[in-house]
Amino acid sequence: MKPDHPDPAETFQRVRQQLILAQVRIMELEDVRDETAARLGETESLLRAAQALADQKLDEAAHAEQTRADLQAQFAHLQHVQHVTHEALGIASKQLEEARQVLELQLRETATRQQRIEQLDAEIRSLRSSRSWRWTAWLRALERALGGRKP
Amino acid sequence: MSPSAALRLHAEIESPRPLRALAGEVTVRGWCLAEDLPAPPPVRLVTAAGILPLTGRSARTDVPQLFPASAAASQCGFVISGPLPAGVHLASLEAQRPDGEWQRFRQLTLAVAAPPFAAVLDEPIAQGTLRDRVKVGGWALSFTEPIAELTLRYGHREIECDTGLPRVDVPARFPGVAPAGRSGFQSRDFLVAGHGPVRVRARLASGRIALAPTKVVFSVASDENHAADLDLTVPRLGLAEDGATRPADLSPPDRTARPLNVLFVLHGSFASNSALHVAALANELAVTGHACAVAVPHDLATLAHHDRPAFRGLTFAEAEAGFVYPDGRGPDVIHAWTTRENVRLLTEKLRARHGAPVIVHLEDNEQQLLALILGRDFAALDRMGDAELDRLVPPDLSHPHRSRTFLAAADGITVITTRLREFAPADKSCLTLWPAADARHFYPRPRPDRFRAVLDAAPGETVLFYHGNVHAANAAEVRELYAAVVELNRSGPPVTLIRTGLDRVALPGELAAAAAPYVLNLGQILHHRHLPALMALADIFVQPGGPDAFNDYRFPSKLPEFFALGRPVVLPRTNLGTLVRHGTDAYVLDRADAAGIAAAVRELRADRTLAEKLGRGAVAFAEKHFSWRRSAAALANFYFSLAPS
Repeated sequence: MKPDHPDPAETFQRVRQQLILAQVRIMELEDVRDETAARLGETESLLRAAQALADQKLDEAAHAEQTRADLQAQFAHLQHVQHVTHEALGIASKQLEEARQVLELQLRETATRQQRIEQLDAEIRSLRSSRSWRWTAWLRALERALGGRKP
Repeated sequence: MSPSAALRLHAEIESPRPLRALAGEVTVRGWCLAEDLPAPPPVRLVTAAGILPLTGRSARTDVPQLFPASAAASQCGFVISGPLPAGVHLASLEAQRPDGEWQRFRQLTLAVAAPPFAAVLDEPIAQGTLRDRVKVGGWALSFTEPIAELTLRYGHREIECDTGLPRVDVPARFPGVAPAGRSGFQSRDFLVAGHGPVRVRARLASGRIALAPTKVVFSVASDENHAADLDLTVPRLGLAEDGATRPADLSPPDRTARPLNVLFVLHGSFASNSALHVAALANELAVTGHACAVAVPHDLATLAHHDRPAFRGLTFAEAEAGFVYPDGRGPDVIHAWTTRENVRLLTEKLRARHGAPVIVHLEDNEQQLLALILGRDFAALDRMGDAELDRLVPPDLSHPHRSRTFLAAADGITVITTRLREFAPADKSCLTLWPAADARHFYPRPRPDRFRAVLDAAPGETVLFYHGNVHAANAAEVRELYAAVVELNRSGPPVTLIRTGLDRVALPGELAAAAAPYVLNLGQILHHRHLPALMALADIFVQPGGPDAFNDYRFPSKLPEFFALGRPVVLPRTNLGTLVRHGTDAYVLDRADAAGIAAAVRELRADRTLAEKLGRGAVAFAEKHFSWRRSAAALANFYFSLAPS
């Protein structure tokens, strides 16, 4: 069955109504668009902040890595210095030991000689305090007066 | 790499953050030079997913100023472009040393968005305007999931396409993408009349919609259903008309030194007229530093209809269960919006819990409203016992006895119009709180004449506008408005009434039939902020009605909105109608019944000078008397006078 032809006036009225409602729909869609754009902007902003933070942390990590490498190099250098110093110290210690031994030997020789000096000195003092030395004093004075040996 | 061979590099990445590659295509711009080299070194971008080589060089005028001694400075700009898989990548930018080794100069993060959909229309043309009724085709490729359905959209048309057709060229462009070899599509039928840029629209297997623009415009003038004289290429006419003087945003008011936690208790959802008032006041209070919450008995989701609410919405159940404001405390003030039973019950519970002062707002003659809706005489209702009334009175109306007790126990009362003070106990502090219109949207708007030229049934048509639901309390006066429209059309040039809102009470069948050709009922407009653009279509605003026990005690919330738009306002000599000056601020009728409305419209239509004067007068009256900011400031002072510091 063929449907009745719609009343033109009614159709016109419906078109007018729908014309306005289409505008309402457009406004709603514009709201959605604007809201979506705002949310996208916020998301972009968050992503921007997150990336900036991540990049800052990367920079800090790179700096920390550089610092670590520098410290590592310094540590290696100090280890080398320590090694060289240690070797020098060993040589010095050896030299010192040798010197100490020489010194001890010299000290022993000196002590021996000192003992001998003291022995000779005692002998001299004993000799000079003897009766024969005193009795022969005049002969030694005469010798000095005559230009002989000095006392 | 030996440290001794390291370059002394200077570089900057200038692609703005976020470095987000759309559709998998990365582009990074910047500059890089080495102090030791006479030419800028090659650079590349290295990620775990792949390496992108240098794409291009660019001249720089700024870098030589930073490094005047460097011969490489003037040509050290670079751009690196290329595809990367979707995801977040840690990318290293590296420069090549003369010995061939690469030296990193910068690390950064890259976000690469997946290319969900790519499409090209290339048959019979790949760009330009196609005017012939032919079949069209191209290719479409989804990288994440199969395409379930494909259409082409242009102008007001959408045509279906067959998919899965073989393409030999696409796999070369997308190696490794399996569906590329069968990514071809073709329209199922010849083009139909329509005009506009073409978009390829795919519904993917998951139901997600993907769109891809093309470089083609279809401009098919006619087909078997469209005559050639229907010009589809004319620009769309919108409601927005140039010349609207949108007011500048108000400068923010001073922040309060004593912020309060304010709880409004509403009798209906956020879709109610009362909610418009509460929301406007809460927004203004929030601007000054007060924390506001609004409790509604149902449909919390209707808060989404409000534009940028600056308050918290919560259900009665949430309010009753206990809630705190951002400062960890409860409400300092409870503002009960009317004496309706649901509001009273919750408010009394909250007062017992929080001990906050209670202010009750009156916006209607609740007694008359109850009598109208129950269809009984109020005096008879008032004589009934509480038990009987408890059965009769629904939660969203006021109990004759309990509402009096509620008002007597209130710490203060606000009224929307002075006459309502008659219901306030004599010893109570009382503030008259006039409503206003949302100044962000309601302001003088010129009539969109080009749109009206399309809309109007005949030249010289007059458009009236009325927004609001039809219910038992106002059905009689809306009938008068309809009758006026019928009478005006019967006796003179056409008049159209544009209406919004729901009809909770039906008009008499004969009147509805007689008015139907002249009434455009748009139904409920969800977002109140969309009304002003529709209201701008009007030549005259009419508030029907007359003095009576209902109207004398109310303040129709549409009136400030009528006045703000800058059109002549026809209103009865009741409520606001007793305060405006006839012939200056508005057109005041003793009774805005059918005859009165018709006479007023005829006079305003005949006397353009008067109509324009009343349009200006309406705006002037609105600017002087309607301001949510001023109302909120007065309300805050009222709170301070009642809330112990």
